[in-house]
Amino acid sequence: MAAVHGDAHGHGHDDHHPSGIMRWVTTTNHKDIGTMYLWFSFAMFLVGGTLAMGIRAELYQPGIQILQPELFNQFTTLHGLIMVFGAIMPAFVGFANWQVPMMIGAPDMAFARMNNWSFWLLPVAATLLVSSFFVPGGAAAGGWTFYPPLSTQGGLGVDLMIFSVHILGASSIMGSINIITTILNMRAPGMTMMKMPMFVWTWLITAYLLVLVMPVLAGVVTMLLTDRHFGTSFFNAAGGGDPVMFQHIFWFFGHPEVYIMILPSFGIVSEVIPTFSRKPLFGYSSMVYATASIAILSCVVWAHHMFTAGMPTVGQLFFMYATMLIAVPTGVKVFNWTATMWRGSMTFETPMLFAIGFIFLFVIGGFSGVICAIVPIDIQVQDTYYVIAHFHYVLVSGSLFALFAGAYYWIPKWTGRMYNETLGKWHFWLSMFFFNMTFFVQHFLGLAGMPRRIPDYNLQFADFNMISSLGAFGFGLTQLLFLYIMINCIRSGEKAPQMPWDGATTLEWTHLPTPAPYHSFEKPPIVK
Amino acid sequence: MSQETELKRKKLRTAMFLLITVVALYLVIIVKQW
Repeated sequence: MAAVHGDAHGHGHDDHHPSGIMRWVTTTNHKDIGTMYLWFSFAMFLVGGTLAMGIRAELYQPGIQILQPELFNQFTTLHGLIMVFGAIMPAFVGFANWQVPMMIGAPDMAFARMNNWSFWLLPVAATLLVSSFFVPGGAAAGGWTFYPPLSTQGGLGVDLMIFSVHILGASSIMGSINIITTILNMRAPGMTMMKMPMFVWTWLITAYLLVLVMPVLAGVVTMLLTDRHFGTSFFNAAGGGDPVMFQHIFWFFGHPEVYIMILPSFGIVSEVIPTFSRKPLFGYSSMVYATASIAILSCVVWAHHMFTAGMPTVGQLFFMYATMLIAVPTGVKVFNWTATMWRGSMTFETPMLFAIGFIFLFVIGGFSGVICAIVPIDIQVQDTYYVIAHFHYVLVSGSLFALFAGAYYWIPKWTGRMYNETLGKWHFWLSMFFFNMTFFVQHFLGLAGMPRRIPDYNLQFADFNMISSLGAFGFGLTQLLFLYIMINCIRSGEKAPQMPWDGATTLEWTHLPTPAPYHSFEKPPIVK
Repeated sequence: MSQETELKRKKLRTAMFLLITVVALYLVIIVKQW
Protein backbone atom coordinates (compact mmCIF):
# COMPACT_ATOMS: atom_id res chain seq x y z
CA MET A 1 0.00 0.00 0.00
CA ALA A 2 1.26 3.47 -0.78
CA ALA A 3 2.09 5.71 2.12
CA VAL A 4 -0.81 7.30 3.92
CA HIS A 5 0.34 10.78 4.73
CA GLY A 6 -0.28 14.43 4.43
CA ASP A 7 -3.25 14.84 6.70
CA ALA A 8 -2.01 14.14 10.13
CA HIS A 9 -1.56 17.88 10.57
CA GLY A 10 -5.16 18.41 9.58
CA HIS A 11 -6.58 16.53 12.57
CA GLY A 12 -5.89 19.42 14.89
CA HIS A 13 -8.83 21.44 13.67
CA ASP A 14 -11.06 18.58 12.59
CA ASP A 15 -13.42 19.29 15.45
CA HIS A 16 -13.69 23.00 14.78
CA HIS A 17 -17.11 22.93 13.19
CA PRO A 18 -20.57 23.65 14.57
CA SER A 19 -22.33 20.74 16.20
CA GLY A 20 -25.96 19.69 16.21
CA ILE A 21 -28.39 20.78 13.52
CA MET A 22 -26.39 23.92 12.65
CA ARG A 23 -23.50 21.76 11.51
CA TRP A 24 -25.72 20.48 8.72
CA VAL A 25 -27.51 23.73 7.92
CA THR A 26 -24.39 25.84 7.61
CA THR A 27 -21.83 23.31 6.50
CA THR A 28 -19.60 24.01 3.54
CA ASN A 29 -17.67 20.76 3.92
CA HIS A 30 -17.95 18.50 0.88
CA LYS A 31 -18.19 15.39 3.04
CA ASP A 32 -21.07 16.75 5.13
CA ILE A 33 -22.87 17.94 2.01
CA GLY A 34 -22.27 14.58 0.32
CA THR A 35 -23.74 12.83 3.34
CA MET A 36 -26.83 15.07 3.24
CA TYR A 37 -27.29 14.42 -0.48
CA LEU A 38 -27.11 10.67 0.11
CA TRP A 39 -29.60 10.64 3.01
CA PHE A 40 -31.94 12.97 1.15
CA SER A 41 -31.86 10.82 -1.97
CA PHE A 42 -32.51 7.68 0.09
CA ALA A 43 -35.49 9.37 1.76
CA MET A 44 -36.81 10.31 -1.68
CA PHE A 45 -36.15 6.77 -2.86
CA LEU A 46 -38.41 5.54 -0.06
CA VAL A 47 -41.13 8.08 -0.98
CA GLY A 48 -40.92 7.19 -4.70
CA GLY A 49 -40.79 3.52 -3.73
CA THR A 50 -43.93 3.87 -1.62
CA LEU A 51 -45.71 5.31 -4.66
CA ALA A 52 -44.43 2.34 -6.70
CA MET A 53 -45.87 -0.03 -4.09
CA GLY A 54 -49.22 1.75 -4.47
CA ILE A 55 -49.06 1.38 -8.24
CA ARG A 56 -48.18 -2.32 -8.05
CA ALA A 57 -50.82 -2.94 -5.36
CA GLU A 58 -53.45 -1.51 -7.70
CA LEU A 59 -52.15 -3.60 -10.58
CA TYR A 60 -52.01 -6.79 -8.49
CA GLN A 61 -55.25 -7.88 -10.08
CA PRO A 62 -57.61 -6.52 -12.75
CA GLY A 63 -60.26 -3.98 -11.77
CA ILE A 64 -60.04 -0.88 -9.61
CA GLN A 65 -59.17 -1.87 -6.02
CA ILE A 66 -57.18 0.74 -4.17
CA LEU A 67 -56.48 3.79 -6.34
CA GLN A 68 -59.03 5.64 -8.41
CA PRO A 69 -57.71 6.28 -11.96
CA GLU A 70 -56.96 9.97 -11.29
CA LEU A 71 -54.95 9.16 -8.17
CA PHE A 72 -53.24 6.28 -9.97
CA ASN A 73 -52.03 8.72 -12.63
CA GLN A 74 -50.79 11.08 -9.92
CA PHE A 75 -48.87 8.18 -8.38
CA THR A 76 -47.18 7.22 -11.68
CA THR A 77 -46.32 10.85 -12.42
CA LEU A 78 -44.80 11.61 -9.05
CA HIS A 79 -43.10 8.22 -8.85
CA GLY A 80 -41.20 9.12 -12.02
CA LEU A 81 -40.42 12.70 -11.05
CA ILE A 82 -39.31 11.82 -7.52
CA MET A 83 -37.14 8.90 -8.60
CA VAL A 84 -35.44 10.83 -11.43
CA PHE A 85 -35.01 14.27 -9.86
CA GLY A 86 -35.20 13.46 -6.16
CA ALA A 87 -33.53 10.08 -5.78
CA ILE A 88 -31.11 9.07 -8.53
CA MET A 89 -29.67 12.44 -9.55
CA PRO A 90 -29.05 13.71 -5.99
CA ALA A 91 -27.56 10.33 -5.03
CA PHE A 92 -24.92 10.68 -7.73
CA VAL A 93 -24.26 14.29 -6.69
CA GLY A 94 -23.77 12.93 -3.17
CA PHE A 95 -21.16 10.50 -4.46
CA ALA A 96 -19.53 13.32 -6.45
CA ASN A 97 -19.38 15.52 -3.34
CA TRP A 98 -17.76 12.83 -1.26
CA GLN A 99 -15.47 11.35 -3.86
CA VAL A 100 -14.42 13.90 -6.47
CA PRO A 101 -12.31 16.11 -4.16
CA MET A 102 -10.74 13.08 -2.48
CA MET A 103 -10.03 11.33 -5.78
CA ILE A 104 -8.31 14.34 -7.37
CA GLY A 105 -6.47 15.45 -4.23
CA ALA A 106 -8.47 18.66 -3.68
CA PRO A 107 -9.33 20.03 -0.21
CA ASP A 108 -13.00 20.67 -1.03
CA MET A 109 -15.32 21.65 -3.87
CA ALA A 110 -14.48 24.86 -5.76
CA PHE A 111 -17.46 26.84 -4.42
CA ALA A 112 -18.18 25.51 -0.97
CA ARG A 113 -21.00 27.94 -0.07
CA MET A 114 -22.75 27.40 -3.38
CA ASN A 115 -22.45 23.69 -2.67
CA ASN A 116 -24.42 24.17 0.54
CA TRP A 117 -27.07 26.14 -1.33
CA SER A 118 -27.31 23.53 -4.11
CA PHE A 119 -28.22 20.96 -1.50
CA TRP A 120 -30.64 23.01 0.58
CA LEU A 121 -32.72 23.83 -2.49
CA LEU A 122 -33.57 20.15 -2.75
CA PRO A 123 -35.72 19.69 0.37
CA VAL A 124 -37.67 22.81 -0.61
CA ALA A 125 -38.34 21.43 -4.10
CA ALA A 126 -39.19 17.99 -2.75
CA THR A 127 -41.63 19.47 -0.26
CA LEU A 128 -43.39 21.39 -3.04
CA LEU A 129 -43.58 18.26 -5.17
CA VAL A 130 -44.88 15.93 -2.48
CA SER A 131 -47.26 18.52 -1.01
CA SER A 132 -48.95 18.81 -4.41
CA PHE A 133 -50.88 15.64 -3.49
CA PHE A 134 -52.77 17.69 -0.93
CA VAL A 135 -53.83 20.71 -3.00
CA PRO A 136 -57.25 20.93 -4.71
CA GLY A 137 -57.18 18.75 -7.82
CA GLY A 138 -54.24 16.75 -6.51
CA ALA A 139 -50.77 16.34 -7.95
CA ALA A 140 -49.78 16.50 -11.60
CA ALA A 141 -51.17 13.46 -13.38
CA GLY A 142 -49.91 13.73 -16.96
CA GLY A 143 -46.82 11.56 -16.55
CA TRP A 144 -43.27 12.57 -15.58
CA THR A 145 -42.85 13.97 -19.10
CA PHE A 146 -45.72 16.45 -18.46
CA TYR A 147 -46.77 16.69 -22.11
CA PRO A 148 -49.31 19.36 -23.03
CA PRO A 149 -52.27 19.54 -23.31
CA LEU A 150 -52.60 17.58 -20.03
CA SER A 151 -50.00 19.78 -18.32
CA THR A 152 -51.53 23.02 -19.59
CA GLN A 153 -54.94 21.94 -18.32
CA GLY A 154 -54.05 20.53 -14.89
CA GLY A 155 -54.65 22.27 -11.56
CA LEU A 156 -52.46 23.81 -8.88
CA GLY A 157 -50.52 20.54 -8.61
CA VAL A 158 -49.00 21.19 -12.04
CA ASP A 159 -47.85 24.67 -10.94
CA LEU A 160 -46.20 23.21 -7.88
CA MET A 161 -44.52 20.62 -10.09
CA ILE A 162 -43.27 23.34 -12.49
CA PHE A 163 -41.89 25.39 -9.59
CA SER A 164 -40.30 22.30 -8.10
CA VAL A 165 -38.66 21.31 -11.42
CA HIS A 166 -37.27 24.84 -11.77
CA ILE A 167 -35.70 24.67 -8.32
CA LEU A 168 -34.35 21.16 -8.87
CA GLY A 169 -32.89 22.33 -12.18
CA ALA A 170 -31.21 25.33 -10.52
CA SER A 171 -29.72 22.99 -7.92
CA SER A 172 -28.41 20.65 -10.63
CA ILE A 173 -26.89 23.52 -12.62
CA MET A 174 -25.10 24.89 -9.56
CA GLY A 175 -23.90 21.41 -8.66
CA SER A 176 -22.57 20.76 -12.16
CA ILE A 177 -20.80 24.14 -12.41
CA ASN A 178 -19.17 23.34 -9.07
CA ILE A 179 -18.06 19.89 -10.17
CA ILE A 180 -16.62 21.07 -13.51
CA THR A 181 -14.78 23.97 -11.86
CA THR A 182 -13.39 21.67 -9.19
CA ILE A 183 -12.15 19.06 -11.64
CA LEU A 184 -10.67 21.50 -14.12
CA ASN A 185 -8.88 23.71 -11.59
CA MET A 186 -8.18 21.81 -8.40
CA ARG A 187 -6.49 18.57 -9.37
CA ALA A 188 -3.37 17.65 -7.41
CA PRO A 189 -0.03 18.39 -9.08
CA GLY A 190 0.79 15.61 -11.51
CA MET A 191 -2.80 14.48 -11.97
CA THR A 192 -3.26 15.09 -15.67
CA MET A 193 -6.68 14.63 -17.21
CA MET A 194 -5.74 11.17 -18.47
CA LYS A 195 -4.66 10.12 -14.99
CA MET A 196 -8.01 10.98 -13.40
CA PRO A 197 -10.02 8.06 -11.99
CA MET A 198 -12.86 6.95 -14.28
CA PHE A 199 -15.46 8.05 -11.73
CA VAL A 200 -14.12 11.61 -11.99
CA TRP A 201 -14.09 11.45 -15.78
CA THR A 202 -17.67 10.21 -15.97
CA TRP A 203 -18.78 12.95 -13.60
CA LEU A 204 -16.95 15.64 -15.59
CA ILE A 205 -18.75 14.55 -18.76
CA THR A 206 -22.06 14.21 -16.91
CA ALA A 207 -21.68 17.73 -15.51
CA TYR A 208 -21.14 19.12 -19.02
CA LEU A 209 -24.29 17.29 -20.14
CA LEU A 210 -26.18 18.88 -17.25
CA VAL A 211 -24.96 22.36 -18.20
CA LEU A 212 -26.13 21.69 -21.75
CA VAL A 213 -29.59 20.26 -21.07
CA MET A 214 -30.87 21.64 -17.75
CA PRO A 215 -31.39 25.14 -19.26
CA VAL A 216 -33.46 23.43 -21.97
CA LEU A 217 -35.66 21.84 -19.30
CA ALA A 218 -35.88 25.18 -17.49
CA GLY A 219 -36.87 26.85 -20.76
CA VAL A 220 -39.59 24.36 -21.56
CA VAL A 221 -41.17 24.50 -18.09
CA THR A 222 -41.02 28.31 -18.19
CA MET A 223 -42.94 28.23 -21.49
CA LEU A 224 -45.41 25.80 -19.94
CA LEU A 225 -45.90 28.21 -17.07
CA THR A 226 -46.50 31.20 -19.35
CA ASP A 227 -48.92 29.11 -21.41
CA ARG A 228 -50.84 28.30 -18.26
CA HIS A 229 -50.92 31.74 -16.67
CA PHE A 230 -49.66 34.52 -18.94
CA GLY A 231 -51.61 34.08 -22.15
CA THR A 232 -48.88 32.68 -24.41
CA SER A 233 -49.49 29.80 -26.81
CA PHE A 234 -46.14 28.08 -27.16
CA PHE A 235 -47.75 24.66 -26.97
CA ASN A 236 -51.43 25.47 -27.40
CA ALA A 237 -52.61 24.50 -30.91
CA ALA A 238 -55.72 26.67 -30.57
CA GLY A 239 -53.47 29.73 -30.20
CA GLY A 240 -51.14 28.75 -33.03
CA GLY A 241 -48.69 26.82 -30.84
CA ASP A 242 -47.37 23.30 -31.31
CA PRO A 243 -47.75 20.63 -28.60
CA VAL A 244 -45.40 18.32 -30.51
CA MET A 245 -42.70 20.99 -30.22
CA PHE A 246 -42.92 20.50 -26.44
CA GLN A 247 -42.07 16.85 -26.94
CA HIS A 248 -39.04 17.73 -29.07
CA ILE A 249 -37.71 20.22 -26.54
CA PHE A 250 -38.51 18.00 -23.57
CA TRP A 251 -36.71 15.01 -25.06
CA PHE A 252 -33.74 17.12 -26.10
CA PHE A 253 -33.36 17.38 -22.33
CA GLY A 254 -34.88 14.00 -21.51
CA HIS A 255 -32.64 11.66 -23.42
CA PRO A 256 -29.32 13.13 -22.25
CA GLU A 257 -30.95 13.00 -18.81
CA VAL A 258 -30.96 9.21 -19.09
CA TYR A 259 -27.19 9.34 -19.62
CA ILE A 260 -26.82 11.82 -16.78
CA MET A 261 -28.26 9.04 -14.63
CA ILE A 262 -26.13 6.26 -16.10
CA LEU A 263 -22.67 7.74 -16.83
CA PRO A 264 -21.75 8.17 -13.13
CA SER A 265 -22.88 4.53 -12.69
CA PHE A 266 -20.33 3.59 -15.32
CA GLY A 267 -17.78 5.52 -13.27
CA ILE A 268 -18.59 3.66 -10.05
CA VAL A 269 -18.52 0.27 -11.78
CA SER A 270 -15.20 1.24 -13.41
CA GLU A 271 -13.75 1.77 -9.92
CA VAL A 272 -15.24 -1.32 -8.30
CA ILE A 273 -14.39 -3.92 -10.96
CA PRO A 274 -10.63 -3.23 -11.16
CA THR A 275 -10.42 -3.18 -7.34
CA PHE A 276 -12.02 -6.59 -6.89
CA SER A 277 -10.26 -8.04 -9.97
CA ARG A 278 -6.93 -6.70 -8.67
CA LYS A 279 -6.05 -5.45 -12.13
CA PRO A 280 -5.94 -1.98 -13.68
CA LEU A 281 -8.98 -1.01 -15.70
CA PHE A 282 -8.65 -2.47 -19.19
CA GLY A 283 -8.58 0.19 -21.94
CA TYR A 284 -8.68 3.30 -19.76
CA SER A 285 -8.40 5.78 -22.62
CA SER A 286 -11.02 3.95 -24.70
CA MET A 287 -13.32 4.15 -21.65
CA VAL A 288 -12.84 7.92 -21.56
CA TYR A 289 -13.52 8.31 -25.28
CA ALA A 290 -16.49 5.93 -25.11
CA THR A 291 -18.01 8.00 -22.29
CA ALA A 292 -17.55 11.20 -24.28
CA SER A 293 -19.00 9.54 -27.42
CA ILE A 294 -22.06 8.35 -25.49
CA ALA A 295 -22.58 11.89 -24.16
CA ILE A 296 -22.31 13.47 -27.62
CA LEU A 297 -24.56 10.87 -29.26
CA SER A 298 -27.12 11.22 -26.47
CA CYS A 299 -27.82 14.75 -27.76
CA VAL A 300 -28.81 13.64 -31.26
CA VAL A 301 -31.23 10.79 -30.53
CA TRP A 302 -34.08 12.52 -28.71
CA ALA A 303 -36.83 11.90 -31.26
CA HIS A 304 -36.67 8.10 -30.84
CA HIS A 305 -39.10 8.79 -27.99
CA MET A 306 -41.51 10.24 -30.55
CA PHE A 307 -41.69 7.78 -33.44
CA THR A 308 -45.47 7.62 -33.09
CA ALA A 309 -45.87 11.40 -32.82
CA GLY A 310 -45.36 11.77 -36.55
CA MET A 311 -42.16 12.64 -38.41
CA PRO A 312 -40.75 12.21 -41.91
CA THR A 313 -39.29 8.81 -42.77
CA VAL A 314 -35.83 10.31 -43.12
CA GLY A 315 -36.16 11.64 -39.56
CA GLN A 316 -37.19 8.22 -38.30
CA LEU A 317 -34.20 6.65 -40.06
CA PHE A 318 -31.77 9.23 -38.68
CA PHE A 319 -32.93 8.85 -35.09
CA MET A 320 -33.11 5.06 -35.40
CA TYR A 321 -29.53 4.69 -36.67
CA ALA A 322 -28.14 7.36 -34.32
CA THR A 323 -29.70 5.51 -31.39
CA MET A 324 -28.32 2.17 -32.51
CA LEU A 325 -24.89 3.78 -32.83
CA ILE A 326 -24.82 4.38 -29.06
CA ALA A 327 -24.56 0.61 -28.65
CA VAL A 328 -20.99 0.81 -30.02
CA PRO A 329 -19.33 2.91 -27.26
CA THR A 330 -21.54 1.17 -24.70
CA GLY A 331 -20.31 -2.15 -26.04
CA VAL A 332 -16.73 -0.90 -25.69
CA LYS A 333 -17.40 -0.29 -22.02
CA VAL A 334 -18.96 -3.68 -21.38
CA PHE A 335 -16.06 -5.33 -23.24
CA ASN A 336 -13.53 -3.40 -21.15
CA TRP A 337 -15.19 -4.34 -17.85
CA THR A 338 -15.22 -7.97 -18.92
CA ALA A 339 -11.60 -7.78 -20.06
CA THR A 340 -10.66 -6.20 -16.71
CA MET A 341 -12.10 -9.22 -14.92
CA TRP A 342 -10.48 -11.67 -17.33
CA ARG A 343 -7.78 -13.62 -15.48
CA GLY A 344 -8.08 -11.20 -12.59
CA SER A 345 -7.66 -12.35 -9.03
CA MET A 346 -11.36 -11.84 -8.42
CA THR A 347 -13.24 -11.85 -5.13
CA PHE A 348 -16.94 -11.33 -4.77
CA GLU A 349 -17.65 -8.95 -1.94
CA THR A 350 -20.96 -7.07 -2.04
CA PRO A 351 -19.73 -4.09 -4.14
CA MET A 352 -18.39 -6.50 -6.76
CA LEU A 353 -21.63 -8.51 -6.76
CA PHE A 354 -23.63 -5.36 -7.43
CA ALA A 355 -21.16 -4.29 -10.14
CA ILE A 356 -21.42 -7.65 -11.91
CA GLY A 357 -25.19 -7.65 -11.45
CA PHE A 358 -25.15 -4.19 -13.00
CA ILE A 359 -23.31 -5.46 -16.09
CA PHE A 360 -25.67 -8.43 -16.63
CA LEU A 361 -28.88 -6.48 -16.17
CA PHE A 362 -27.79 -3.23 -17.77
CA VAL A 363 -26.89 -5.21 -20.89
CA ILE A 364 -30.44 -6.60 -20.95
CA GLY A 365 -31.75 -3.03 -20.65
CA GLY A 366 -29.36 -1.94 -23.38
CA PHE A 367 -30.49 -4.68 -25.73
CA SER A 368 -34.16 -3.88 -25.20
CA GLY A 369 -33.17 -0.26 -25.89
CA VAL A 370 -31.77 -1.21 -29.27
CA ILE A 371 -34.96 -3.17 -29.91
CA CYS A 372 -37.04 -0.10 -29.03
CA ALA A 373 -34.86 2.01 -31.35
CA ILE A 374 -36.08 0.04 -34.37
CA VAL A 375 -38.94 2.13 -35.73
CA PRO A 376 -41.44 -0.59 -36.72
CA ILE A 377 -40.95 -2.38 -33.39
CA ASP A 378 -41.11 0.85 -31.42
CA ILE A 379 -44.42 1.73 -33.04
CA GLN A 380 -45.77 -1.60 -31.71
CA VAL A 381 -44.38 -1.32 -28.19
CA GLN A 382 -44.78 2.45 -27.71
CA ASP A 383 -46.50 3.21 -24.38
CA THR A 384 -46.60 -0.45 -23.39
CA TYR A 385 -45.04 -2.26 -20.46
CA TYR A 386 -42.15 -3.28 -22.73
CA VAL A 387 -40.86 0.28 -22.45
CA ILE A 388 -41.42 0.24 -18.67
CA ALA A 389 -39.39 -2.96 -18.43
CA HIS A 390 -36.65 -1.49 -20.65
CA PHE A 391 -36.05 1.67 -18.71
CA HIS A 392 -36.30 0.01 -15.32
CA TYR A 393 -33.56 -2.40 -16.42
CA VAL A 394 -31.48 0.69 -17.20
CA LEU A 395 -32.36 2.83 -14.19
CA VAL A 396 -32.93 0.30 -11.40
CA SER A 397 -30.51 -2.49 -12.20
CA GLY A 398 -28.29 0.09 -13.90
CA SER A 399 -28.19 3.28 -11.88
CA LEU A 400 -29.51 1.96 -8.57
CA PHE A 401 -27.34 -1.19 -8.50
CA ALA A 402 -24.28 0.97 -9.25
CA LEU A 403 -25.27 3.28 -6.39
CA PHE A 404 -25.47 0.26 -4.08
CA ALA A 405 -22.07 -0.93 -5.35
CA GLY A 406 -20.62 2.52 -4.64
CA ALA A 407 -22.21 2.77 -1.19
CA TYR A 408 -20.81 -0.60 -0.07
CA TYR A 409 -17.44 0.17 -1.67
CA TRP A 410 -16.86 3.57 -0.06
CA ILE A 411 -18.76 3.27 3.25
CA PRO A 412 -15.60 2.03 5.05
CA LYS A 413 -13.76 5.15 3.87
CA TRP A 414 -16.64 7.42 4.85
CA THR A 415 -17.39 5.99 8.28
CA GLY A 416 -14.31 3.99 9.25
CA ARG A 417 -16.57 1.00 9.80
CA MET A 418 -17.34 -2.16 7.84
CA TYR A 419 -20.82 -3.20 6.83
CA ASN A 420 -22.07 -6.73 7.51
CA GLU A 421 -20.86 -8.71 4.49
CA THR A 422 -23.35 -11.55 4.92
CA LEU A 423 -26.29 -9.16 5.04
CA GLY A 424 -24.83 -7.23 2.08
CA LYS A 425 -24.80 -10.41 0.02
CA TRP A 426 -28.36 -11.15 1.07
CA HIS A 427 -29.28 -7.65 -0.03
CA PHE A 428 -27.71 -8.28 -3.44
CA TRP A 429 -29.26 -11.68 -4.11
CA LEU A 430 -32.73 -10.68 -2.90
CA SER A 431 -32.54 -7.51 -5.01
CA MET A 432 -31.50 -9.54 -8.06
CA PHE A 433 -34.29 -12.06 -7.57
CA PHE A 434 -37.08 -9.61 -6.85
CA PHE A 435 -35.94 -7.09 -9.46
CA ASN A 436 -36.14 -9.67 -12.24
CA MET A 437 -39.40 -11.03 -10.86
CA THR A 438 -40.85 -7.51 -11.06
CA PHE A 439 -39.58 -6.33 -14.39
CA PHE A 440 -38.69 -9.30 -16.61
CA VAL A 441 -42.31 -10.35 -16.92
CA GLN A 442 -43.22 -6.81 -17.96
CA HIS A 443 -41.47 -7.48 -21.29
CA PHE A 444 -44.10 -10.16 -21.96
CA LEU A 445 -46.92 -7.87 -20.84
CA GLY A 446 -45.70 -5.15 -23.17
CA LEU A 447 -45.28 -7.47 -26.13
CA ALA A 448 -48.84 -8.71 -25.51
CA GLY A 449 -50.01 -5.10 -25.66
CA MET A 450 -50.63 -4.03 -22.07
CA PRO A 451 -50.59 -0.20 -22.05
CA ARG A 452 -48.71 1.80 -19.40
CA ARG A 453 -50.30 4.40 -17.09
CA ILE A 454 -53.65 2.52 -16.95
CA PRO A 455 -54.92 1.28 -13.55
CA ASP A 456 -57.04 -1.55 -14.98
CA TYR A 457 -56.30 -4.22 -17.56
CA ASN A 458 -57.66 -7.14 -19.49
CA LEU A 459 -57.90 -10.53 -17.75
CA GLN A 460 -55.25 -11.99 -20.08
CA PHE A 461 -52.59 -9.91 -18.29
CA ALA A 462 -53.56 -11.01 -14.77
CA ASP A 463 -50.92 -13.69 -14.03
CA PHE A 464 -47.85 -11.72 -15.08
CA ASN A 465 -49.14 -8.65 -13.23
CA MET A 466 -49.56 -10.67 -10.04
CA ILE A 467 -45.98 -11.97 -10.37
CA SER A 468 -44.70 -8.47 -11.07
CA SER A 469 -46.50 -6.99 -8.06
CA LEU A 470 -45.24 -9.70 -5.69
CA GLY A 471 -41.73 -9.07 -7.00
CA ALA A 472 -42.13 -5.33 -6.42
CA PHE A 473 -43.27 -5.84 -2.81
CA GLY A 474 -40.25 -8.10 -2.24
CA PHE A 475 -37.89 -5.59 -3.87
CA GLY A 476 -39.30 -2.77 -1.75
CA LEU A 477 -38.90 -4.72 1.50
CA THR A 478 -35.37 -5.74 0.49
CA GLN A 479 -34.35 -2.09 0.37
CA LEU A 480 -35.30 -1.75 4.04
CA LEU A 481 -32.58 -4.35 4.60
CA PHE A 482 -30.14 -1.96 2.89
CA LEU A 483 -31.23 0.80 5.28
CA TYR A 484 -30.67 -1.55 8.23
CA ILE A 485 -27.22 -2.58 6.92
CA MET A 486 -26.12 1.04 6.53
CA ILE A 487 -27.42 2.18 9.93
CA ASN A 488 -25.91 -0.88 11.57
CA CYS A 489 -22.59 -0.15 9.86
CA ILE A 490 -22.55 3.50 10.92
CA ARG A 491 -23.58 2.82 14.53
CA SER A 492 -21.87 -0.42 15.39
CA GLY A 493 -19.96 -1.80 12.42
CA GLU A 494 -16.55 -3.36 12.96
CA LYS A 495 -13.64 -0.96 12.65
CA ALA A 496 -12.52 -0.82 9.04
CA PRO A 497 -8.85 -1.50 8.29
CA GLN A 498 -6.88 1.23 6.50
CA MET A 499 -7.23 -0.63 3.20
CA PRO A 500 -10.34 -2.83 3.33
CA TRP A 501 -10.01 -3.51 -0.40
CA ASP A 502 -6.46 -4.48 -1.27
CA GLY A 503 -6.93 -3.77 -4.98
CA ALA A 504 -7.93 -0.12 -4.54
CA THR A 505 -5.51 2.37 -6.10
CA THR A 506 -7.21 5.78 -6.05
CA LEU A 507 -6.01 8.65 -3.84
CA GLU A 508 -8.71 8.39 -1.18
CA TRP A 509 -7.51 4.88 -0.35
CA THR A 510 -3.78 5.33 -0.84
CA HIS A 511 -3.23 8.83 0.56
CA LEU A 512 -5.87 9.32 3.26
CA PRO A 513 -6.51 7.56 6.56
CA THR A 514 -9.69 5.52 7.10
CA PRO A 515 -12.09 7.06 7.95
CA ALA A 516 -11.30 10.11 5.84
CA PRO A 517 -10.61 13.12 8.10
CA TYR A 518 -13.07 16.02 8.13
CA HIS A 519 -10.54 18.14 6.24
CA SER A 520 -8.49 16.28 3.69
CA PHE A 521 -5.71 17.24 1.27
CA GLU A 522 -5.15 20.72 2.65
CA LYS A 523 -1.70 20.14 1.21
CA PRO A 524 -2.19 18.53 -2.18
CA PRO A 525 -0.55 15.16 -2.74
CA ILE A 526 1.95 14.72 -5.54
CA VAL A 527 0.67 12.29 -8.14
CA LYS A 528 3.32 10.42 -10.10
CA MET B 1 0.04 37.24 -8.01
CA SER B 2 -0.20 34.62 -5.26
CA GLN B 3 -1.10 31.05 -6.11
CA GLU B 4 -4.33 31.39 -4.15
CA THR B 5 -5.45 34.49 -6.07
CA GLU B 6 -4.56 32.82 -9.33
CA LEU B 7 -6.66 29.78 -8.40
CA LYS B 8 -9.60 32.00 -7.40
CA ARG B 9 -9.39 33.80 -10.72
CA LYS B 10 -9.28 30.52 -12.66
CA LYS B 11 -12.26 29.12 -10.78
CA LEU B 12 -14.28 32.26 -11.35
CA ARG B 13 -13.42 32.28 -15.06
CA THR B 14 -14.58 28.67 -15.49
CA ALA B 15 -17.76 29.26 -13.52
CA MET B 16 -18.65 32.47 -15.36
CA PHE B 17 -18.16 30.76 -18.72
CA LEU B 18 -20.48 27.94 -17.66
CA LEU B 19 -23.06 30.31 -16.18
CA ILE B 20 -23.15 32.40 -19.36
CA THR B 21 -23.62 29.18 -21.37
CA VAL B 22 -26.55 28.21 -19.16
CA VAL B 23 -28.26 31.59 -19.38
CA ALA B 24 -27.69 31.81 -23.15
CA LEU B 25 -29.18 28.35 -23.74
CA TYR B 26 -32.18 29.15 -21.56
CA LEU B 27 -32.89 32.35 -23.46
CA VAL B 28 -32.27 30.81 -26.89
CA ILE B 29 -34.77 28.02 -26.21
CA ILE B 30 -37.51 30.48 -25.27
CA VAL B 31 -36.74 33.18 -27.86
CA LYS B 32 -36.52 30.57 -30.63
CA GLN B 33 -40.10 29.49 -29.88
CA TRP B 34 -41.43 33.02 -29.46
